[in-house]
Amino acid sequence: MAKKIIAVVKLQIPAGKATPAPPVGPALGQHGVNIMEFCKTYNERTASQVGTIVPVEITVYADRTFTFVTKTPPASVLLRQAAGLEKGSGEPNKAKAGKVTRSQVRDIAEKKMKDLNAHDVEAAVRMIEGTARSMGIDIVG
Amino acid sequence: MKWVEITVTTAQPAVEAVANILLECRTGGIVEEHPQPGVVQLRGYLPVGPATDVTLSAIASRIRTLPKFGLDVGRAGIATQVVEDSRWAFAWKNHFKPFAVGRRLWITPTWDETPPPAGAVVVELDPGMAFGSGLHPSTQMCLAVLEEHVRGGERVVDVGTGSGILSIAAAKLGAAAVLAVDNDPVAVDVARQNAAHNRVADRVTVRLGDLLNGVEGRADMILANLIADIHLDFLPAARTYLQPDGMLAASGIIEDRMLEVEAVARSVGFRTREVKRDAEWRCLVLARN
Repeated sequence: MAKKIIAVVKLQIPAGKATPAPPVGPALGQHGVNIMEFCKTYNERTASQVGTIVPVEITVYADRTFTFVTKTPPASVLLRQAAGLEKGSGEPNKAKAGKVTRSQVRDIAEKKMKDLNAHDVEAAVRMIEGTARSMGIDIVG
Repeated sequence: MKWVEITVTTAQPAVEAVANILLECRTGGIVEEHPQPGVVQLRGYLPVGPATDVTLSAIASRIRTLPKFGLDVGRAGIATQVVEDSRWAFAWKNHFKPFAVGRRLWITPTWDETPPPAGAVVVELDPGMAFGSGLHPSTQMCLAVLEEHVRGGERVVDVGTGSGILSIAAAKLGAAAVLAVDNDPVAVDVARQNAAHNRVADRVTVRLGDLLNGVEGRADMILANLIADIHLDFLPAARTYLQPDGMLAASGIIEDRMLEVEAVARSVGFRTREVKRDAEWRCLVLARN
């Protein structure tokens, strides 16, 4: 028989570096999950991706056991990679950080479409474009 | 320790941009929640310090600019509150109940008064913030190795002891001397307290240290509940710390890395006695060639 689910928790945390500090601690502790057990498993599964953010969706069951799946990195990470940037602009109106092409934006939109809950690729593209502009990344081509 | 919890309410189109702002402002990670359809809450945390207010106002001002970039932020709002570690760090304890491992071991929280089954070998545990509640498959496989192989009088080394659960179980099953090592001072304190609580502190020595560095003599059994990457460095040095007829339990190996760790173990003079499997985790039981 399937186990009863009591919570689904979504986190965006650094790969290989989960600790019991926030946000992991409060997000899982309130559901009775043993935080250290999660950290060990997450860090082991994401060890090869250290240096990036790997979102994770954790399903907590009534007996306080859990399973999780990792997701595609956030759009901001993919945009930075596409633009070859370390970080975005803190003042996107004034200082531009870099640029990406429309086709790069479309690739990212397709990759992230499921996570974005977008109805179609065009809606996902608009979200990625807005995110890019909010980071000081211009869209060209 | 105190933290400022920042909760940003927004709409789906702005989620990635808000998440980026929170991550760039060093919140160290975020939680995403969907309290109702079309509404998303993103939550981040900052340690309370002299710069907290400046960071909070930077976050607020960057979020206010998002509509200018064509992002629908919905009924955007930012709420903050100060929270303390203790509120969540130990919440899981309410759900930590006694359980049996193998045929004889009975792991019970120090605060639980459920009577153990007759004849059980009881390990009382308060893991605190250290790893090793006994619930993780990698820990349970090590406990099974102990139950199957400790006959009495052995010298055991437990590398990465965490809560001390494996060392205490070894002592309770009859090991004569157990050395428990961890590189985390929190774990060392927790393991010492647990050894004392179980009245095995005379046989379990807990030490702050890095793997087997500084360990003297040879062990009949080495327990290493680590992770695959650390095993790759640990195993080449470990063989000389093991008696010729000794045994090493290398646990905490995720299934995808199993062949890689086993190949390294073989190349440095170990043979595989047994592979224990539980869910996606593996425990390699090794002997010297």
